[in-house]
Amino acid sequence: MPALDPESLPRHLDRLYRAAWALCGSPHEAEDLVQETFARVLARPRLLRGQDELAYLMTVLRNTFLTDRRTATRRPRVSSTTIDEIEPVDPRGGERPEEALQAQEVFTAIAGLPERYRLALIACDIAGLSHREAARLLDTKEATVATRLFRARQFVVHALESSSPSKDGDAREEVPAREDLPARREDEPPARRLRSESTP
Amino acid sequence: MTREPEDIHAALAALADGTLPEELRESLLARVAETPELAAELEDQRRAVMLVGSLERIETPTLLRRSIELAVAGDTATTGGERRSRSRSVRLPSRLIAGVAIAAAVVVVLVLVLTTGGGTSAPTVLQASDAGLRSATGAAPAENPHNPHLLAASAVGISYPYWGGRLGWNAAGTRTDTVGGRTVTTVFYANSRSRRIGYSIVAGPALAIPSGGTTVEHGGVSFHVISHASPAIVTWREAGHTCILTARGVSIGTLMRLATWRRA
Repeated sequence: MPALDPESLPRHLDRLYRAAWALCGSPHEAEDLVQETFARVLARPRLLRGQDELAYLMTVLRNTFLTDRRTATRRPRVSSTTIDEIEPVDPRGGERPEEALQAQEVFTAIAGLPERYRLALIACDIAGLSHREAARLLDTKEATVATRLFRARQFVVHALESSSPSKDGDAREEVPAREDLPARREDEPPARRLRSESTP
Repeated sequence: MTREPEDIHAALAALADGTLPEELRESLLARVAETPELAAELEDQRRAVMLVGSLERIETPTLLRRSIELAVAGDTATTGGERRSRSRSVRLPSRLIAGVAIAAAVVVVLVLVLTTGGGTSAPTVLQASDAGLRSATGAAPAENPHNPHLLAASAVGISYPYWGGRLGWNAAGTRTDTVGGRTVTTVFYANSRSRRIGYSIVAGPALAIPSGGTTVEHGGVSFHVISHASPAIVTWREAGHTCILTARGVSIGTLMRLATWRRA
């Protein structure tokens, strides 16, 4: 069984950082999460059980995130916000403010998704795992991953539309608030039927 | 086509990200072409793929990347070092190793006595930072009633900052140590994820900055990253004294943002 090669890890760093940001919704919490993930991975030799390195790292990242969150919920919440508003000391050269703002909006929209949709989108669209790899990561079926991905993308697009003022008066479907997002299972009938199926 | 809606949604997701098998593409595209609602849904999928794809320009912050690279390099060096050490021990007789170790210890003691006159020398930043990892022995200081950016606690005239509220790091305790003859006063901060940071102030003249670390200039102050992880340590000089932030499970980026957080 192949072992994880520590020297190859930094090349996955950007993807992991973006995935962590999407998980947490905060770039600073993402830094802590990535650092903790690598500390865990480097603490002892790791065997890749049929996964490639990125899929393995994503598994550790997700587990670290979930462990941290469980710890947090056991403790009284002292602040609902983080240090996002602190002036960055390491501004990335060349990044335009509007691009940074848009990126933050997209990350926030993803972080606002219910967990199962968020994890599917992060695994496939941010980390770049295949649907099969994502299904293994999330311990579900490929078809379920694809369906969750569909829903996740819908919510992200609608959330971003609803958060920005309409320029052309295009009245698109109102996006439900996070707590109103559908809780149905993938094997339940969708709330909205396809028009083609309701017409002969 | 008699596919269930869930199948169609899965197929649309796969079509949008290019993972739909070729043999299914044409039939799905034909159906999309004749069904406006499907077309709108496919358009949403493509927009989302494009929006999320645009995040690829986001790169890891320099300090975090440096931390990880150093941690990986350290891990690799340790592994290699252990290998080298083991192979050497096979070749060298144990008596020779013991003799060399004793001789080295004698030399170290002589050097220390000659250079310091046998007295107590100033601690290193690393030694002083250890206080930030110990347990608190005193209660958490309160907020400064006259200044919302400070705590009602100070050492050698330097006030500890208030990082509660929206910053999310509340004062959690204090302790005082003597390290190398210097008083090291530490205030601990904790966040909601049970992470802890020790903010230590060393009395007396500023300690020497260890060479080889990363230095970040901010607001006319040089912040030195002594260790990137396990624990992460940042030090700087203030009013002629040494200030140190030490933490485990907290990134250098977070320590730097707190260290550089403005004070009134």
